[in-house]
Amino acid sequence: MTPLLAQGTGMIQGGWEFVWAGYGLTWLIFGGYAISLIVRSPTGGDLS
Amino acid sequence: MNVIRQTFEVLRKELLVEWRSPARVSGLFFFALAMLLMVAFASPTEGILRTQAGGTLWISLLLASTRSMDQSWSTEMEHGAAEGMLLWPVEPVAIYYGKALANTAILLAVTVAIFPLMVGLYDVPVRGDLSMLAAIAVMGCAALAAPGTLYGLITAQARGASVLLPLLMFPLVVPALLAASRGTMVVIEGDPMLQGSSWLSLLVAFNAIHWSLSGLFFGRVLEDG
Amino acid sequence: MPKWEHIAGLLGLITLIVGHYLGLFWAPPERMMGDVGRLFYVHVPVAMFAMLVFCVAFVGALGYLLTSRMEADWLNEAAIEVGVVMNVLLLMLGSIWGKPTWGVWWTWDPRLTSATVMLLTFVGVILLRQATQSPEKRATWSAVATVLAFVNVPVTYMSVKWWRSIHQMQSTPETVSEPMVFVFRVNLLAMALLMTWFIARRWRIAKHRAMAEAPAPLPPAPQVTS
Repeated sequence: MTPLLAQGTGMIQGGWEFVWAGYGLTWLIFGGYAISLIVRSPTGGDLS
Repeated sequence: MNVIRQTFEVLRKELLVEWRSPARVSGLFFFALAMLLMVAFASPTEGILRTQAGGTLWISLLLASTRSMDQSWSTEMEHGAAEGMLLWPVEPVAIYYGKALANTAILLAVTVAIFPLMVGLYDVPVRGDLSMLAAIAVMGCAALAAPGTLYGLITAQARGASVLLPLLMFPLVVPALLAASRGTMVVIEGDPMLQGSSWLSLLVAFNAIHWSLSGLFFGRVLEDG
Repeated sequence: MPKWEHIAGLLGLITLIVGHYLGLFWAPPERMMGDVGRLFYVHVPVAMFAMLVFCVAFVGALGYLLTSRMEADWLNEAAIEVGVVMNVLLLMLGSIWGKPTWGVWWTWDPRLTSATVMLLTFVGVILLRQATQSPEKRATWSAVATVLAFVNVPVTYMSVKWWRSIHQMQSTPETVSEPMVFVFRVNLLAMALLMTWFIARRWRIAKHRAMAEAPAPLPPAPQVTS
C-alpha cells in the first residue's frame, strides 16, 4: 500500500478506518483496564 | 581510610580473586566467542558479518555480561545474605565502585581478547584510529558494568535472576549498545566524517549518569537487601 | 459514600465522550493529513500522559527513597502499571497513525523507538517487583529501577535520534487551527481526569494488598465487666 499522501491534492484522502480503529482501540484499552481495576478493587466489584 | 582508597582496596581484592582463579574471565571469553560463531552460523551470507561486526561484538559482550554480573555478588552471598557486606570495614559506595571497576576491567580483558578473533573470523578490515577504538572499548565496557553491577546485586537476591537481569539491563543499556556498536563500526571503517567522537561523547554522558546514580543508590539497596 | 476519585473518573468519562465526539465529527480535517489527522486528538494526549504518568511514578520513587513511606511506593506501583497500559496504547496508536501517513506500520523513528524502549524498561520494573516477597526490598528496588529507567528515557531518545532519523510530518503551530486547539484541550482534560481515577484506584489496590500482607494486629483485649 502506498502512502495515501501520494494521491492527488496533497491532503491525505480517506483513511477513516484508521481513525475508527484508533478511537475504538482507546475505548477498548481504557475500558478493559477500568474493568480490571474494578475487579481487583479491595471491595470487589463494589466501587466505594 | 578514605573512600577512594577503600574503592581501590575492593578493586584489588576483586582482581586478586579473579587472578587466582580466572573462572569469570575465561567463562566470559568463551561465551563471547561462542556468540560470534553462532551469529556467523545464523547469517545468510558471509558479507553481512563484516558490516555487522561492531554490533555483534557488543551484543556478545552484553549477553556475556548479563550472565556474569550477578556472579560478581554470589561469592559474597554464599554464606548468608547481602547484609554480610555491611560488616566490611568500608563505605558501601566503595564496595560498589570497586566491584564496578573490577567488572569493567574483566569485560575489557574479554574485549581485548575477543576483538582480534572477531577481526579474523569476520574478515573485518581495520582502517581506523586505534586509540579511538580503545576509548570506545573502555567507555562501552564501563557503560555495561555500571548498571550491571547494581542490578546484579538486586537480582542475585531475587527470584528468577537469570531472566530478570537481562530484562532489566537490555532496555537500560540501549543507548550504550547503540553508541558502542556504531562507534566501533565507524572507527573500523576509517571514520572520514569523524562520527566516532560523537558516539564516544554519548558513551561518556551515559557513563557519567549511570556511574553517579548507581553509586548514589547502592548503599540503599545494600541496606534494604 | 463514594470516594473522591469517582467524581474525577465520571467527569473524565463524560469529557472523553465529548472530546472524542468533537474530534470525530466537529473538528475540521487537518490540512495535510485530512481525516487521518483526527488521530491527533487521541494519540498526542495519550503520548503526553504516558510520559506524565511515568513522571508520577518517578515522583513516587523519589518520595520513597527520601522518606521510606510506603504510600510513596504504592504511588510508584500504581503509576508504573497505568503508565505501561498507556505506553502500550501509545505504541498501537502510533502504529495505526503511521500506516496511512508513512505507509508502514513501524519505522525506527526516534520517538517510536524510545517509547518502545521505555515500555520495556518499565515492564522490567513490574517484573522486578514480583521477584521478591519483602515489601521493603520491593519498594527500594522498584524506586531505584524507576529512577534509572526514567533518567534513561531522554538518553535513549537522543541516541536513537543520532542513530537513525526519518523526516516526518509534524503538526507545527501554524497547521493547528483554533477549533483544533479547543478539541485537543478537551481531550487533554479527559485524559487528566481518567488518569487520576486510574492511578487512585490502583493506589487503593496496592494499599489494600500491603495491608493484607502485613501481620494482623493483635485482637483488642477483652473488656472485663464486673
